[in-house]
Amino acid sequence: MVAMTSPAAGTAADLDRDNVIDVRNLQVEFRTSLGVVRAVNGVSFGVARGKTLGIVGESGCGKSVTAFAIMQLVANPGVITGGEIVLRAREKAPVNLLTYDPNGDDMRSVRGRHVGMIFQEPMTALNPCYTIGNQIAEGILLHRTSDPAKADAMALDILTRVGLPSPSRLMTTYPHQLSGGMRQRAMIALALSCEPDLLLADEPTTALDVTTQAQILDVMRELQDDIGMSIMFVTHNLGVVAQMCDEVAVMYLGRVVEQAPVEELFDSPRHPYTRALMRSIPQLGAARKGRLEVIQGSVPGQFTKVPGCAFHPRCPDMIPGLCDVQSPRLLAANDDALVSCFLHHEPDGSARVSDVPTPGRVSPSSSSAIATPPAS
Amino acid sequence: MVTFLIRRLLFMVVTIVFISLISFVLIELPPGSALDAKIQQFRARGLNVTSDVVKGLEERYGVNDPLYKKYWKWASNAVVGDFGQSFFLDQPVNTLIGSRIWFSIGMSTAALLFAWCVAIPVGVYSATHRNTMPDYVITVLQFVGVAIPEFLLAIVLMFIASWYFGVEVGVLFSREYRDAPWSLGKLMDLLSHLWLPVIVIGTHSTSWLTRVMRANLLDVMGQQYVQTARSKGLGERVVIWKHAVRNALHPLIMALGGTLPALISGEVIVSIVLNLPTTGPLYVQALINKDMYLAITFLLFLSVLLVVGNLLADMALAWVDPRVRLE
Amino acid sequence: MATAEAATPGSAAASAKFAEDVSQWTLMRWRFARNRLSLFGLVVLLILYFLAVIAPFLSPYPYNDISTDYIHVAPTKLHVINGQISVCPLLQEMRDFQWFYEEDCDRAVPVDWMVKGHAYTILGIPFETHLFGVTQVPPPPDPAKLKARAAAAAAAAPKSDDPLAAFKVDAPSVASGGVEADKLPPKVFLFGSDVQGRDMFSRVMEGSRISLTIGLVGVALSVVLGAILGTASGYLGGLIDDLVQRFIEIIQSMPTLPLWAAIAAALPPTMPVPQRYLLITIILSFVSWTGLARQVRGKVMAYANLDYIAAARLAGSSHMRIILAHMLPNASSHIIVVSTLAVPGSILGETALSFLGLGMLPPAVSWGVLLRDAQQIQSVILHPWLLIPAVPIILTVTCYQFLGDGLRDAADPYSS
Repeated sequence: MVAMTSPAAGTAADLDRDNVIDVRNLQVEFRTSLGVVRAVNGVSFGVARGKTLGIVGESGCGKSVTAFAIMQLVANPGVITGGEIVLRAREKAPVNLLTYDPNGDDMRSVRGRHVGMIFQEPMTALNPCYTIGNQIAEGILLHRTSDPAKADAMALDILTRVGLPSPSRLMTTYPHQLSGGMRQRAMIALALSCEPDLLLADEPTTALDVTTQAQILDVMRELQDDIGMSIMFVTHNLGVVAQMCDEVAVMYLGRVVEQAPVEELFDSPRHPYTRALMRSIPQLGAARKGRLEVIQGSVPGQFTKVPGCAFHPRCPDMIPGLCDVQSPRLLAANDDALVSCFLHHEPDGSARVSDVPTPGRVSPSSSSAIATPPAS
Repeated sequence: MVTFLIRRLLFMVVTIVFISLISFVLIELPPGSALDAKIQQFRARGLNVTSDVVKGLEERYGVNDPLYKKYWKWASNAVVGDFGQSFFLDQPVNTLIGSRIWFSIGMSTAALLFAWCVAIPVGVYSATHRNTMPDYVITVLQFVGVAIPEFLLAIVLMFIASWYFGVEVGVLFSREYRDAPWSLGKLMDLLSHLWLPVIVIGTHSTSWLTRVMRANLLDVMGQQYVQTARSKGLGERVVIWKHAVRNALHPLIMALGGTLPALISGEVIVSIVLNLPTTGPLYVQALINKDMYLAITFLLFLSVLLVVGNLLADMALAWVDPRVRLE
Repeated sequence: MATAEAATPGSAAASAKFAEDVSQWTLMRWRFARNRLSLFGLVVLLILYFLAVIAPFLSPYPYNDISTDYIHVAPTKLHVINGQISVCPLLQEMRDFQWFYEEDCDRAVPVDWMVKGHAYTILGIPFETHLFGVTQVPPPPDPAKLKARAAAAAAAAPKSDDPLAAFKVDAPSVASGGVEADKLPPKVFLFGSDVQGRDMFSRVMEGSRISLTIGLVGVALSVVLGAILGTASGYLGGLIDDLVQRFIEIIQSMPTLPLWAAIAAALPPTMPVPQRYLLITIILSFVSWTGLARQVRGKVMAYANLDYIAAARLAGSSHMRIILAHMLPNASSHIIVVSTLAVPGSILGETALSFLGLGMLPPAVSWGVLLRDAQQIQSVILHPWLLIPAVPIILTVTCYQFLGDGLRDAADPYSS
């Protein structure tokens, strides 16, 4: 349907390491009555074993849809139309999840068991009709044991581990009796009850206040070490990314434009969009008189197809005749970073030598300021 | 839960008192009393009714008393279970209503069960097979089901039943059981005659509840906790029936308050068409004859039925939804 | 997929427009137009109302025109003879105290278009023309043929020892449609005729005028009542709100139809038709206003907390102005939807009351009144066309539901 100039080669897999999951050229469309929305348009990235990958981008860039696509739970009218998602779980041979029937037993045995998921809204993510204990034990009964008593014990154990007070009482408590932070802990307990290899966290702290947010992040990190799992952390909060992630993938309009280790991304962002993002972060003590910088222009409408690089209409460094015609591919920038931009690569894939704007455009104080959580 | 119940019960009593007042005024208001009709009747039969006799009768029945006095007289008796005398049928209202109200309750309950047993699975099917051919068919049937007046459906089904199946309609018991004492055979006989009126009474509610069920389930299916359930690896059947349907029942039970009047209205009109020995025919007869104590008592009982039904619905809601229960 | 692709650039422009330049009503119209079923409902309803307006033009006979020669005649068959739509005169026969009719197609006469007939007015303008009718008088029936038929019928008549035989007509008499009828053009009964030989088609047409409007007027009344009480309740709050709400709860705790019946029974049966019509609408609105008042109250209470109402109040607007200029216009789409959804209930209510003999009464004609003739199952089995008035009822109510559903979806800003 579309001339595929988007990154098919040069994916995160090329970074040559042990990834729990490799997403390659993932495509998700929403076929609405008003037209087709390409929510995810050739996304590629990988999550290293035991590490945390942050996925950042503005709302509507397709980051949550990507997480749901890994679960094969994209809601109607969304359809996964292409790409592959290779899972390398500990007790399972590597497999491309997209070869599984979304409603089949194979896919269901992956959900909850090898890949767990937590959501943005702890208020609505738990079923109001059942007790916390019931909801956690349900998953355990499905994947780990068929003995209800054992399942209850395991549920109690995981509730204790997420740091909830008086967990045994919580077993018989209904979700509406808990605060938002407690619900999110319960949700984490639910997602981790089967000790998955990968946790998909879809903006798990967005709806929480800052103190609770920090506690939740702590719990996630602790359990990550305990269980030895990887986390794919979807967020638009760069402060949380700095605190939580080992690596970051930046998404813009359904594509990954840059993936790099977290320090590298904050210190020397490569893609113009990433750079603009960095500049739009408010900084303590900096430039009280100046206005906060915003990215010029606005995100194009959801039905619009932008020729060439999706970011070119807003890009300050746009190369006329190239960026508005051809799509750049996501290619290695060094040993552990990838970028999709003609400022870094020639259209044939070779590294561009001249014209590379120095990363120093970001104000020198920025990296340290960002690395500090916004208001902790 | 106990305070909730007590509060509801108190409100129920107040409601019933008000309803009795309203029904009393409504039925008492029109000019001309049953007594006039009765006197006319006597005169037509050639009996000489002197004005003294009329006066005596008027005094006895308190025809010329002010409204509040009449209400008080009637209400104070009604509290101890004496609902007065039917003018037209010369029998205590209690005797006339007694068995009939139980048949009405039984029939409405059966229709309600029928409506739920059909509406839930059909609504779930319709919602989970959204925009498929069966869904369209179900949707159109729902609209038509609401659009068909009950009495018409009664006529048509009766037509079909007597024409094609030779079923005896318009009675609740076959001849051999009519005066027999209760037995299993009599019960089975009753059930075999009951299905037709029950279907007719329940159709309207079934269609409506199916629509409510479908809409709710579609709503619930979009909720995050349904995705949570799927992300645990649960099968679609468990996700729908355990996680989605349970939550979609909440508005369905709230809708019960809306279906009960329809059920009772349907019961009244259907029993008239089918000439069943329930409240309907006698109630309309009483209204036309201005047989007021009988009519008021019927209206009151039907309202009480509704109020009690609503109370039961609230309790069911509390049972299904922990959020309501624990408030 | 091709269409979606092609539509993409256009809809991009549309979606840009969507958010900024388009009024709420235009948005509603767009969403409504996408719903095929509700468009269908709207079109059918418009046609039905138009037909009700021109009902006498479509009716070949006065709706109350009694004719003893045509009792319980089945819907007239239309034949195409010599390229013209024609009807055949009927031969009558009395058997077991029942009239039986048979077509005599040797004497068929064509149906004429735009014929002159009984006078009537539409919107005050007098007319005499009717869409169709039969004007030609056929020749008298062939006596030889009548005789032969009588003989055949007599031979076919059961000569059993039926105990009722004495009561049955011995030798079935065969006549043409009555002595008087033979001198007149044959009648065309599209929907058959009733027990008094009245044309069901003309009656259904006439009945649509009451049945289609009575529910609408009833709902209009309840909209007025519901909007006033709902607004007062929601805006003033406090004691008034409490009182109104309890009153609504009590009315809603009464079974609808028995309540309607109780009120309707209070109307004297001798009341003139227009007065009765008005009172029945009031009775119908007596129950339906409660639902509307609740909805309006909810809306008003929601609006009362919004910033723009606070802004209006700060600007010194009076309560009346806030309600009339700021709240009701915003609630209007909601009111329209709720009232559209209330119309079917009112229409069915009138039908049920009339069917029970408590609503509209003869000589007035409504679909419910017409269905009263179908109350006896025996009668329906013999004359199934008596059920025809049910078809427009079902059609109307279904279409109102389609329309109401479509409007609700269109008015809901959160629907996709």
